[in-house]
Formats: sequence, C-alpha cells, structure tokens
Amino acid sequence: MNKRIINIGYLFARPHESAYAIVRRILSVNPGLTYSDIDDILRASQPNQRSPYTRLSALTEQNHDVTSKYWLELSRASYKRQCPICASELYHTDIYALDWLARCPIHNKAFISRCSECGKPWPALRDIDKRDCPSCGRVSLEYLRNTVLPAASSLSYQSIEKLYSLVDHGMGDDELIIRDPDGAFLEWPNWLEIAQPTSKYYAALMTKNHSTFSHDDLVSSGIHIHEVKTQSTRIRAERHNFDVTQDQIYRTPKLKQAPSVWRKSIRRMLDSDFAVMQSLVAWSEAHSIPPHNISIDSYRHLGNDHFTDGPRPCVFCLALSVWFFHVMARHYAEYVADDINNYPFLADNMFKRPLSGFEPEIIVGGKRYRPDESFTKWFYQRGLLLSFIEIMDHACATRITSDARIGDDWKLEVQSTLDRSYLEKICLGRVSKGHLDFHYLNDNILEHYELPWQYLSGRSCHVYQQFHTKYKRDNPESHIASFDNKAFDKSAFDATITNFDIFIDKHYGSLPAPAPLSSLL
Amino acid sequence: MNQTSHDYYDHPVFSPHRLRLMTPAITTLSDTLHRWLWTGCTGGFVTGSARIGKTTAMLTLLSTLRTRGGSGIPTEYVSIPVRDQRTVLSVFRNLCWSAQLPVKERDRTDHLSERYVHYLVDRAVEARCQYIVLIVDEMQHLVANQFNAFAELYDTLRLLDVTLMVVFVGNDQESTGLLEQVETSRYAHIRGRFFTQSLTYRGLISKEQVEVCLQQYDDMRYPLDGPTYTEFFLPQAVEGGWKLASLSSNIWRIFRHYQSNYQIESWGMQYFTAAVNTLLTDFLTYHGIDEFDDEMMHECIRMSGLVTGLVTERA
Repeated sequence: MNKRIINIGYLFARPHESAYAIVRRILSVNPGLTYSDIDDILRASQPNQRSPYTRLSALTEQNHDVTSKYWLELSRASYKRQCPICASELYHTDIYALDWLARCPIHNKAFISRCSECGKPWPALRDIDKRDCPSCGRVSLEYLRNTVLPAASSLSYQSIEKLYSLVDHGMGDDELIIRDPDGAFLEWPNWLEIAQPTSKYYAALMTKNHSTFSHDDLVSSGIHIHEVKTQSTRIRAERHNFDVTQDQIYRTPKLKQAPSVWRKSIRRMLDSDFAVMQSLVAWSEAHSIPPHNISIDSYRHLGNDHFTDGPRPCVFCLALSVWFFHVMARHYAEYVADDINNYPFLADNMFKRPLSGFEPEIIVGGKRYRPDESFTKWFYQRGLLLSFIEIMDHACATRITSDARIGDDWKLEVQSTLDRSYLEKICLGRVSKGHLDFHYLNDNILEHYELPWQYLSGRSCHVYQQFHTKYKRDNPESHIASFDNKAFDKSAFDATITNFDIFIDKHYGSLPAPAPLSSLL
Repeated sequence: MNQTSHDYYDHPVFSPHRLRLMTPAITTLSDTLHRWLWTGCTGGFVTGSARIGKTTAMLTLLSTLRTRGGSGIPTEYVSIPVRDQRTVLSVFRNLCWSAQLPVKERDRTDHLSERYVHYLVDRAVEARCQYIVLIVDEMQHLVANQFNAFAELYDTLRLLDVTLMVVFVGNDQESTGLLEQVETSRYAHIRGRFFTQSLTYRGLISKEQVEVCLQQYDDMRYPLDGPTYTEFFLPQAVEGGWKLASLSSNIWRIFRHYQSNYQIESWGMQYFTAAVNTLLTDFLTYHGIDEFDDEMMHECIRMSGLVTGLVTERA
C-alpha cells in the first residue's frame, strides 16, 4: 500500500495548540476524511507513537514535553474547558484545563463546557468530524480563511507563552528532603502535589517562590491565586548524629546522660504528644453525642464481623485509640509498631502504618540542617494531627463500609471520605538563603476537617461500650484509659502511657521500664 | 576493470532516469520559467516533440525554481494519464493521488479540490514562499473543460494569499487540437490565465550543444568522489588526456546525416543519451578509442531507436 499523507494546515496554526485544536484544524483542511482516516495515516507514519495525542502533537513544534505523562493526562480532557472566542477561531490549548486559570488570557472570557454556538457539550476528539458547527466542528475553507492569524494578532498569544513558561518553570526543589532523623519514617506523602501545575495552588506558589511571576501580573492573565500560608524558619547545619533510635533512648536509664539536644527533642515531642492528645480529646468530645465517655482501648479483638453484626464501635474512640497506640509505639516500642498497627478490621481498607509526626531534618544537596525550635515543634504537632486525621478517615471508612449494605456505591463514599482531608496534607518546602519556606493550606487542620456526618449523626458510643465491657473484663490490660468528662491533664496522660506499657509488656514481652514521664515533662 | 559488477551496472549511465544532463534546452526552459514567475505570469505551456526530453527537463527543474530573492519555490509535478472519465473530478482525483493524499470513493469534487488546495498551501507555508508552481505533464490527455480545475485552484489559492503558476507540458502534435479549442471565446478565462505564454522545447540543435552535453560526461563523477563518467569506463584513455567531448564534431556530423535524411528538427535527448551511452559503455570500452569511426557511431544511433521512433511517430 502506498504511503499516504494528510494536510496539516500550517497556515492556520497558532502557538501552543492542543492536540484537540490540531485535530479540528486537520479535519478542516482534509475535507471528506474522518478522524479515523486521519489517525490511520498518522499511525502508519509514526508507528512509534502509541497515543493519538502524541501522534498529533508530534506534528507541531512544542516547547514542553508532550510525551510526559502529566501532559498526556492533561491533554486527554483539556477540551472540556474552552474559551468561546478561541473555539470560534479553531484555537485551544491544554493549559486551559488548569483550574487556577480562571479566564482566557487572550479574550478575558470565562471558560465554558458547552459550545456557545450550538449549545452542545464540546465534542470529544473522535466526534469533532460529526459536528457541523463553526465553533466546535469541522469548518469549510471559506470559514477557515478568516481564521488565518494576522501577524499583528500574534502578539496576543504572548500571554499563552507566558503561561507555559510559568508551567514549565517548576519549583526546582528536587534537592530538598525533609525527613525523620530516626530514619524510620522517611515518607511524607504529597510533598510535591501542590507544586504540580495541575494543583490549584500552583500559581500561588509561583508568586511566592519566583520573582519572575508577580501576583498582579498573573491575576491580569486571568489566573485565580488561591491563598497559601507559609512558615519560614532559619536552618542551621546539623552537627549531631542520631545513631540510636529514640525508643531506645526513652527506655534507657541513661536518658539524663544523653546529649542535651536529644533530651530537648524528647521533651519537646512528649510535650507535643500531650498537647495534641489533649486537643484531640476535646475535639472528639465536642463533635460526638454527649455524654461521651471517651475510651482508649487496644481493639485487638475486633474483626470485620463486629462491624457488620455487632454494635459498631464509636469512630472517635476507635480513631483516638489507634492514633494513641501508633504514636506511643513510635516512642516506646518501635520494634513492634507494625504489629500494633495491624488491625484486622482496618486491613480491608488498605490501612498500613499511618503518617507519623516527626521533628524534621532538612537535607539540601546532601547536607543536613536543623530548623529552629518553634518550627520543629509546629511541624511535629502538625504531623500528629495529620496522623489522627488519616486514622479518623479509615475509621469512618470502616464504619461506612459496615453501614452500607446496599450495593457498590459505598466504595465511592469511602473514597470521598478519604479524599476529604487530602488537601490538608498538601505542603511544600523550599530552601533559599539559609531559610526554609514551608507552604501549607490551613493552620488549624482539625477545624477544616469535615466529618461524614450523614454516617455519624445519632450514633452513640454508649451501646458499643456496653458490648465491649465483657471483653474488657476478661482482658483488663486492653483498656488503657477513659476520660469521663474529666480534665485530660498531664497525670492522666502519664497514667495512659503507663497502661500502654503494661499492655505492651503483656502482649509483646517484657521491656525495660520507661523513663518516668513526670521527669521529662 | 576494478569495479564490482554490482557497482558497475549501478552507474547512472545504465539507468536513463538517473542520468540528468543540464542541456542548453533545459537552461533555456529554466530561464523561461523564471521569467514567467518573476513577471507575475499565472501560467504557460511548453510543447515539443515526443521523446525530446520535456519530462526529464521538468523533473530536473523541480527543485531549482527560485524567487527574485533567491528562496526556493515549491514545485509540484503531475502527469495526466489517459482516462475514460474526462471530468474535473478526475483531475482533482489525479492531483490528490500525485500528492499522495488519500482519495476515497465517496469524495466529492469540492472535497478533493479543497484537499489539494490545502496541500499546496501547506507546501507554500513550509517553504515560506507565497508562490507555488504546478507542472502538468501530458496535457494532451486533458479536455478543454478540465482546465477549469486549474482555474479553480488558482482562484482559491489567491484567497489564501498564495499565487499559483501552472505550467502545462505536452506533445506538440497531440496538443494542437486542444490548444486551438482553448483559443475559442468559451475558454477565454482559461486562455488568459494559462495560455498567453509558451515555449517550444527542442532537443540538441548544434554541434556546440552536443559538446556541452559530452563535456558533462567528462566532468560528472560517480560516485561523487570517484572517477568521471568517461574515466569510469575508459580509465586508461582519460589518464592519457582523452575526453569524450573531443568526439562532438564527429558525432554531430553523423547525426546531421539522419537529420537531413529524415527531416528531424532536433536530436531528442532520449535518443542522444542512448546513443552516447552505448558508444561509451560498449563500443569504446571494448574496442578502444582509437577504433572510433563513423560506422561505430552510425550503429550507436541506430541502436538508440531514433529512426524507428521517427517512423513510428510519423506512422
């Protein structure tokens, strides 16, 4: 079979056209051919390009890497958001898909999801040739010749060029690592989610980090700048090496002989554990149905059947308990932390070891730095709260799973519950001139955390506690603490830790006695 | 002989389509086309005897046309085949085929017309040139009505700011009727666009022109850094200072014999190169340059088919 070619319509090309715009143009300059005719020819001429988007994009010069996964994903759905005037001129560019771009930078028009001419949703790539509409379908030569871009008008595409330079700029923070000096908890998910151009906070971050892109300039290009908060801290070179894990330190009588920087760190973390737990107890009481006898238990005995058949546990007690065990295991029993976090009823919801709070160590270009004390404390407490929210999400998801016995839609509900706190986690660090700028969205994470009330309203902890009593009687060590409207003070916290240690002792073997908490706080 | 048999028979002299000699007639044609282009002509026609070398000349010039500023002008070539259907649709279908554009059974005339217009525009934009030349060979296979297809192309391209020049090429004897038809008032719009300029293409008409062609055998090399064409076949003779061009007087004198006997206007390039190639690759290679004589050249001309061709044409 002879090699065939198609017309490209170079005369009507514009800067940074999307694959979608290229298809409309190619269909218009190849009248009578269908999209599949064209794709067949492109497939034969570019056998190495597997996606129609890369085959089409390869036909024009692009500054960005159109084969990257990010651009391909953006490209596939970008047509759903178009400027009505651009569309009538056969123009569209992938950058219009980005949420933070509120208006067309060329015509200052809001993006729309339907064709302004025929009122139908913008056609997908394969359906363009079926539309007989000058704004969303194939156009005739007579119409097409009016879309030739006059040289003078090409200046208006500079704003598109500017947007692409913004997207391609990147945050340039590959070298920055914020890690747990213990080395055990290196993962802090979503560090860079906010730094992706698809994030709605991307433009805000660019104004904060690059003098090239001023706030006013971007707003005038039709960009909506979402608010992003920043914590700045000076960073100093770290001189100490933590060559033992902290749980060993907690459990050694030589704690007082440990370097002062370690002792300070341990005190700071325990202080934060107490402060955060106090706020979580108060938050749980405030959001649940009174009277609420908040209880910390091991929940070792619970299986999925308890959720489906028996009285269901209170998600507040459950989440607080799981969180407490997780945080305390970190300090006192790291070597059994995986076992402690292995709850049979949470396994179905893909619960693994949750996030942990940690005092950060900053690594830039292989060198280690320590941020100042107030930031370190703030960062650690934020980690504890995120950890609780993640556990609370799973607890809610488990509860919802057991409540929803009516088909498959529960999966969606579970997912949306898990996603609810997602934005709270997004954060980004950036180091410049001896300072770390840490960007985040909300100061008080718990205040912005939305519970799935439709599943929790009217649920009392009381019924479950009655059911639970029998197990508590046979396994008294499984009950760690109750806070029956009592003030959660340091002595209560101390007692809770002591009970936790008894539990560990019973289930995982004898351990050295922990350092007296009162001496640390 | 040092060359392997593969290399030997791969020489351009053995494949007439690869042997491109810049003859004086091609130079004249090039000058004429440039004059038409630079004076804003929208087209013209070139006629000449069969086998005279018109097609080869046009193919030689395909990538050589330039604007006054020196930038290349995209040039498209299409050869019109003999068809039962002599419609405008069949012209566009043929144009699209020649450009390797897809053609479907369901395609209407306006589909194909627009498709080919966009093809020409793409070529013009790629070359950053507002002009484009379309060479239509074997125009004698067209009927007058089909010229409307080219007029339509010209008009549509004007709307897109691209100027088309169409050069029709045909055999003089077979094109006469068509050209007379175009002269009638019914085709005034066609005549005004494409038939006010003309050129009669001729083969070799003088000893000097034969010498120019033979000198190219002495100058062109195969491979590019290898021996000259003459040296490739006669290395010892060339080493001794001999040149093929030295035979130009003798060759022209012997051709003149046929020219007067058969009333040949000019020596068609196909017959000339066939005769010279036979002389170079067979007779001189095997018998040596010292054995060259009139009989040898007569034999070469006879083997080129010149006489048979004339008899066939006249018949």
